[in-house]
Amino acid sequence: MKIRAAFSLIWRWAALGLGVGLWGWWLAAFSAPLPFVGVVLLLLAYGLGAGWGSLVPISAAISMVVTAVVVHDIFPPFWSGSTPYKYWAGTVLALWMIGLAVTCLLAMVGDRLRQDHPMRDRWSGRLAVLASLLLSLWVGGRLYQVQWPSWVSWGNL
Amino acid sequence: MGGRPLPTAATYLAQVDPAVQDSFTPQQRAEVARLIELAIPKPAPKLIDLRFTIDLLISRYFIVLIVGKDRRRAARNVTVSQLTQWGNWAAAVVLLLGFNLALSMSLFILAYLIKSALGIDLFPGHFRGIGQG
Repeated sequence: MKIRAAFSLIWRWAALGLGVGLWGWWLAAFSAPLPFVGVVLLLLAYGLGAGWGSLVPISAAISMVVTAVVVHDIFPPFWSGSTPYKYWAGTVLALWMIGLAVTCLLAMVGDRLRQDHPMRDRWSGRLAVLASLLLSLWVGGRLYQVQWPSWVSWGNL
Repeated sequence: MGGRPLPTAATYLAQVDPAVQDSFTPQQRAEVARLIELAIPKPAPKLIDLRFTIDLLISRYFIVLIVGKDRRRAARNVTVSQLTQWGNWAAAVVLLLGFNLALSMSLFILAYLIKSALGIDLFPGHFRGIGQG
């Protein structure tokens, strides 16, 4: 049972790492200002610390960001001006849904780390997961900077 | 978020001191169990039962939205002051308005994005690159 629980935590953590890496990629694509990235880091720490209790506030924050992107027509620089808007709408929708899924995973992992551990292990576990998520965020940003994925011809969408 | 099993008479009887339990005759035990069953509140079926917590780090709050058929015949025993009642109403209205605004905005943006992703253009000329795919 313990091995099963460990595997369940590991796959959630891996999926969370991928999702946060995707956030890093898009934050770099939007050239997000440093304070905004700082807020994302704080939200990640908050989600890990609060578990399911963070679901509503973080979801609300993501929805507010999506609303700002739609209302102010914010596009990343690589997005060609001649690309039909429907592709952008589909992309924003997908990013929103992925954002909510990542929030649920964050809450799940945070909640799992709160249970069945002595206080010291709980904090070291949270710090280790948070460090890995920060690494994922940084790797995502770096991947955008080295223009990955290179096989997508972004200019000809 | 999942509901706990509702307590039964046996749940409470199990908490009675074992020595006292042993002193019960079957009739006494049955009578105590009957009284406990009478005292346990019977929750009415709910049409909507939404419960969630919001953790603000300094404190955790729970929010409950319950909708169901009102079967109560007796008047409620309200023991709070008039001022507290008004305060509760004001807080509830502000909370409901806030949730309503947030939910409406999210639903509107969701509907707008789905419509746009399907290529439906209600205001021609608004979309970037519309008509090219």
